[in-house]
Amino acid sequence: MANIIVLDDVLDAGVMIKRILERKGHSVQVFTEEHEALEHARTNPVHLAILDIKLKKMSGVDVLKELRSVSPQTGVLMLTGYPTLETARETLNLGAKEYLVKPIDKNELEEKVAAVCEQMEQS
Amino acid sequence: MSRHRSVFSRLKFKTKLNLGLFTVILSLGLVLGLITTHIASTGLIQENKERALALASNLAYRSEEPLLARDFLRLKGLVDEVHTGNSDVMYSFILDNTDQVLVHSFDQGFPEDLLHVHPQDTGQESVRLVSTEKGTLYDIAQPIVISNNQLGMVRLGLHRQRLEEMINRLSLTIFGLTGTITILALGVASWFSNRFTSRIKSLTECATEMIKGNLEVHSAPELIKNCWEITGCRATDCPAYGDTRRRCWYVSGTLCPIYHPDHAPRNMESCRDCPVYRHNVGDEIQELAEAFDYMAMTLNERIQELSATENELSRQKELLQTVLDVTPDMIAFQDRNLTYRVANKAFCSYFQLSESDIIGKTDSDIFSEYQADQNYHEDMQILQTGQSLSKEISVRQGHTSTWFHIVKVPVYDQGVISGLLLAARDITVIKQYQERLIHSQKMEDLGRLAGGVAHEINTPLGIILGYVQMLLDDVDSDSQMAEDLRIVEKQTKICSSIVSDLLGFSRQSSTTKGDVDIHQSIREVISLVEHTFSLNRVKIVTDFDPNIPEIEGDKDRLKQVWMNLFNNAFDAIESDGQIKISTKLCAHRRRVAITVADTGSGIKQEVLDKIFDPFFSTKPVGKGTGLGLSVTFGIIKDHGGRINVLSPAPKEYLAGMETSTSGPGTVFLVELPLWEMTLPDEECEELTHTRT
Repeated sequence: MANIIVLDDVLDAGVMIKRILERKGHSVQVFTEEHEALEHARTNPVHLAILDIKLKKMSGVDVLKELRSVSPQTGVLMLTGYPTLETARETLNLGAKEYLVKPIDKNELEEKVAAVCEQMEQS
Repeated sequence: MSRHRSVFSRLKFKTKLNLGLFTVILSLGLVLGLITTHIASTGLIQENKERALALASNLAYRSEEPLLARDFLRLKGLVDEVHTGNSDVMYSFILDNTDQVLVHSFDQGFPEDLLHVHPQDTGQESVRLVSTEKGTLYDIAQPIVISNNQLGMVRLGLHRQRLEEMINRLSLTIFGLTGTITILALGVASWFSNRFTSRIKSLTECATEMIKGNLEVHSAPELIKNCWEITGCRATDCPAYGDTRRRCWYVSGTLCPIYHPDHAPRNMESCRDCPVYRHNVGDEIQELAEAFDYMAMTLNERIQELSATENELSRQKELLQTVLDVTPDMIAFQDRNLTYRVANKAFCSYFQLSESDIIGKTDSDIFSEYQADQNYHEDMQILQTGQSLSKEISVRQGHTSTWFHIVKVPVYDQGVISGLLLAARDITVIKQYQERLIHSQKMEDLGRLAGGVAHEINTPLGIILGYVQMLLDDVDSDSQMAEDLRIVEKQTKICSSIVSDLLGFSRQSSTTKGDVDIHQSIREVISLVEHTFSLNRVKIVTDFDPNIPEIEGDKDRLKQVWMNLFNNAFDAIESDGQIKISTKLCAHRRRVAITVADTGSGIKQEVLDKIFDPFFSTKPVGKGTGLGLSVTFGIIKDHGGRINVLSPAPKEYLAGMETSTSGPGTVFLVELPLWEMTLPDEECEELTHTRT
């Protein structure tokens, strides 16, 4: 299945997503540090990145920009507790596939991830 | 004595003058007459006596020879000759040295008494005054002496009557003359005094005119030649030029070369030698009259100046009064005794009193005893300390309260506090804005707090939800464990929805704005709730304004607003009632007004201010979160609009509804701006009780 990275400043939130997605057979890496996640994406093939907007040092939008340059083939899914019209518009313009709002329902997460993976495979 | 004096002082000056002159001339005439008469009569008598003595000595001389010759016939002839030749000689006779009568001129015997008129013969001539039955006469005895031998004595009786007649005639003449002069003098004096007093009288008349108020008097005589005519002056700019009423030396600042520029009127030293002055100067009375005229003119000018000042003052007073009355603020002035001296129209009309009911009164006549007492202490403190007071007070009248900003300042007059000025301004509107601002600030803070809390809870809540859902996958769906986990999941979702509402209230959730058809959004919500409401016999009535254009907004969120409002209305009605939804395009097409009125139980006055606060709810615990109206408020505000509430609902909002379904009712008024518009500060005219 797909190689997924999760970047969230709260480790538990990331671990929870990892647990849900691993059950679906995905290989998931959880990061709380932006540079570690970016380093991983540079050195490993990553199919999907789930990014929080509010992070420790950078914003999710900045990470998204960086990620697009280091690993342009990676699909991105934004997941945030601070949804705003601006960030939504900006991230979608930067090539994010989805913009999801916390707290996310397990089923919704599974569906969206599946949908993005399918989309990636088709392209 | 004093009465006499007062009688004298009451006499006319003319009478006094005449009386004085009369007395003086009369006494002078009398004294002169008496002295003259005395001197003249004494002289006459003396002369008569000497003449008689000369007659007697003549007779004696001529008698010597006949006496010696004893020629009695001749003697008789001599005696008769004297008697007949001088009409004033009454008698004459000759005695011999033995005092025997030799001859006499008596026709009817010799009166013997005459022999003893003179004392013992002294051989000297003597004159004696003898009174007889024929009148007083002088008896003269002249001895006849030859060679020291006295031969006899000649006696002569000289009538005094003729003398007296002469003296009387003389006196008469003198007194007559004196009288005539007196009368003449009196005439002259009277004429003079008449002239004198008539000028004084004319002065008096002028003074009387002045007392009556006529200051245009002219008591001094017109000049025959005025100063410019005498000097041939052409200075038409000179204040004295053409002034026929005033003498030039009374006018200050004349251009006359003789006149010194800084010479003041009445300082006439430099005028003494002036030909004008010498030509025109009059006597003291004329000077008095001129001074009098000058005084009248000056007085007139002063009075005119005064009346001009008075007019100006009254104009100023009127202006001040107008300013005071036009001012919407209440203004009053109290003196040191706290008695009202000035009160403007606003002040009077607020207390529904006329100005006369306030002026001269104190606080205790106008206010309640408690209020008056409070004011008194406050005012006295200002008067004593001189420190002004500024405060805001709320006055409750019925169920509306009015706010006043009161300023009391001490008023100083020449360094002393003479009273205090009160100014009160109705700041109810400002206060309302202030309260709204404070409330708005409060809502802002609450929103921020709620948003912060919601964010913090959001993440752990998501983790809990995720794990619960994972666990649900792990356990048998029929097991007790799965049932418990489903309850945890459900409650977590409720939490999640509260968090989401809080985020909505705090406007920190995402919005998607677009064109919204208000009517369509309302209808969609109505179609959702209509069925549920109808089960409890609650009917929805609409009254839409067809002119309303589409507005910019988030349709889903606005639908949430309508949903909240309809649900609230439904909850207030419970059963059997109506909900009326009206829309209206407001004045100047700047906004849309949506009203949601219900016939429900209404909102209590004391909670009316709190209904938009988060977590405030009148519903029983567990039935509502207390966030519905807060979210509504947040959404409306996010759209640049306003939401207000009125309870009980005014009649006009319930028009067309079945009033049998009772309840005070509530009406929510929502204002939303049109595209590219901001909401004006003032409310839509039908929206009165405002909240922002």
